Amino acid sequence: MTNPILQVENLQICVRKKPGVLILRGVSFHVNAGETLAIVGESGCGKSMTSLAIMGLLPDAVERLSGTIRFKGRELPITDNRAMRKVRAAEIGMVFQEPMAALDPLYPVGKQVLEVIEEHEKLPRAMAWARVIDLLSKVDLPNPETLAWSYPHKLSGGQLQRVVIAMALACNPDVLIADEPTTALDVTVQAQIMRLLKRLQRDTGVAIVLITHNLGLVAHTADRVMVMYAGNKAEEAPTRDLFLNPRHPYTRGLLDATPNPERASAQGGVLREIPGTVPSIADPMPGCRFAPRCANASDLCRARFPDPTFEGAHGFACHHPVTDARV
Amino acid sequence: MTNPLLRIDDLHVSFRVGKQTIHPVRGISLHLNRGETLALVGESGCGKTTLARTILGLQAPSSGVIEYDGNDIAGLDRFRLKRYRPHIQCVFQDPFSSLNPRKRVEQLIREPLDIHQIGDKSTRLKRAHEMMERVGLPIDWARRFPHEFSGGQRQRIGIARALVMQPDLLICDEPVSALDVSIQAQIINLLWELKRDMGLSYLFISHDLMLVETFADRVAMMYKGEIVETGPARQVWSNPQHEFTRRMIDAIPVPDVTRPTPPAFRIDAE
Repeated sequence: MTNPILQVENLQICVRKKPGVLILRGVSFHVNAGETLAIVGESGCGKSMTSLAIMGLLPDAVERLSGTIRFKGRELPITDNRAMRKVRAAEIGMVFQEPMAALDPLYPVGKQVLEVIEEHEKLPRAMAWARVIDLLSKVDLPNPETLAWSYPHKLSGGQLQRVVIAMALACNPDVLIADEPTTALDVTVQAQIMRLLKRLQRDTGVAIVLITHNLGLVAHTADRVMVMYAGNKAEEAPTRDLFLNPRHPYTRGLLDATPNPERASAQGGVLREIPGTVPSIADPMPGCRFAPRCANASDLCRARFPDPTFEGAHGFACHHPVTDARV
Repeated sequence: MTNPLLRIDDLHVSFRVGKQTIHPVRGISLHLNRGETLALVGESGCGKTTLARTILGLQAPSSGVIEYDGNDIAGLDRFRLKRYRPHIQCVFQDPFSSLNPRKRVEQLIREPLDIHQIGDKSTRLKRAHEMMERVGLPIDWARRFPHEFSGGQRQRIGIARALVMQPDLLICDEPVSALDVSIQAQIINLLWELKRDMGLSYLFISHDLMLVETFADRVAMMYKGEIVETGPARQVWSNPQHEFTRRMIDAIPVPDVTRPTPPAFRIDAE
C-alpha cells in the first residue's frame, strides 16, 4: 500500500560555519506516490528550507550538517548543482509563492515553458512548442496560442500561477512541491488553483507536497499533514486524525487560534491565542522548543527534546501529549 | 437614534493614471456607530484601501460626503483637517514599512503628541511609556529600534502610536494579514480589549471574511468599488444575499474536517 517516493531522513541544516545555529534540527518524513502531504507551520519553522533542500536550492548562507534525501530509493545529490538540474522539473517540480517573481518579465510566458522542456528533452522545436500549447490549455488558460506570446505583466496573478504550474509539470515529474502556491491570491482564485492542482494530480498521479500556513486549505486538500515548529517536526498524521485528535500542544494551539465561524473558541478574548513568540534559531535551549509557550511544559520538557512517539500513522514529539479530542 | 460617528454618503474617488482615469470608489454610502466594529471586506483591487485613505484625508474624493461626528470633512485642506486628525487614527498592514527605522520606539510612539503639541516633553514620554505597557510591549525596550522587534511586536508599536492620541475611530487596514496565525490571534484579542477599555470604534479592512466574522459587529462587502451587501456579521456569513458574497463564501476553506469541502474546491463537481 504505502510506497514512499520521497524520503527525507534526519535532515539538519545550519547557518554556514555556525553548526550551533540550526534551521532544521533533524527532520524526517516521507511522501507516498500520488498523495498530497501538507507541511504546516508558521514563519521560521523551516518548511520552506525543507523544500529548498529537496530541490538542491539551499541559499549560500546555510549548509547541510547531516541527513539524506532519497527519491525513488536513490540519494539526491543536493549539493551538486549540475546533477540536480536533471532532477528539477523532470522528477521533482516546484511552484513558488510569488508567480511574478518566478517568471522572467522579459520573455513571453510560452517561451519560458518551452525553456523547461528543451532543458530536459531533445525535441524538434515545433513539437516542443505544441507541448507548450497543450500544457497551457491543460492548466485552463484561455486561448493558449495567443496567450503563449504574452509577457508576464499582461497576465493576472492567477493566470501567472497557472503558467508556473505548467512549467513545473512540463516534464511529468513524480513529485510537485508547492510552496504557499495561493498565499498571494484572492480566495476565489485560490480555490481555482487548488482545484486545478487536485485535478492534475488525479490525471497524472503526481504526488504533491503542499507547504502552507493555511489550515483551511489543508483540511480540504491534503491526505496527510506534517506540523513543524522551530526547525522540528512536531506532529504528523492523516488529515482527519490531525484535526480531530491533535496530540502535540502546538498543533492544538494552532487549530484553536485559527478563526472558524463554525466553532466558538472565545475564552477571555475573541480568539484563543498561543502566548509568547517563536524562539530565535540561535537560542541553544536543550529541550522542547515549544516549552516556553506551552501550558503542559514540565522540567523534563525544558531538559530533553522528546523522542517521536507513533500510534499507527500518527506521530508526535511531546512528553505530555494532549489527550482530549477537539469537539 | 443617536448620530453615527462616521457617515459616508455617495462617495466617489477617481484619479488619473497616465492617460486613463480610474474610478476605485463608485458611490459608497455607509455608517459606523459609536462603539461599533464595522468590517469592510473585499478582494484585492476592490477599492477598500482607497476608501480608507480618503476617510483619513490622504486622498481627495471627487464627490460625496464624509461626515465625522456630524461635520463634513470631505476634501478639507490639511490645515482644517488637522483638527480632526487626532480623532481618526490608522493601523497599517505592513508593520515593517510603516515605522521609521531610524527612530527609537519611544520616539515613534511619542511623535503624534509632538506634532499636535500635546503636553510638555516629559508628559509625552510618560504617555508613550504608558501606551507601550498597555499594548504589551516591555518598557525596558523603549529605546530600541523597530528592526529589533518581531512582526507582531511591530504591529503593537503601530497600535500604540495610533492610540496615543486617544482617538475615537481607529481604521485598521489589514492589520494582521502579514502575521502568523498564533500572533494574529494575539493582536486581534489586543484590539478587542482596547476597544472595550477605551470605548473605540473600528473600521476594520480585511480580505478575510472568516476572521472578521469572529469579532466584527457588522460586515460591509465591497466589490469593484461598491458596497454590495451589509449586515450583521453572523447573518452575512450564514445567509449571504449578494452573488459576490456567496461566491466568496463558497471558496473559503473552513479549517474543519467535519464540514463538507466547499464547492469551489471539488473536482468531482466539474
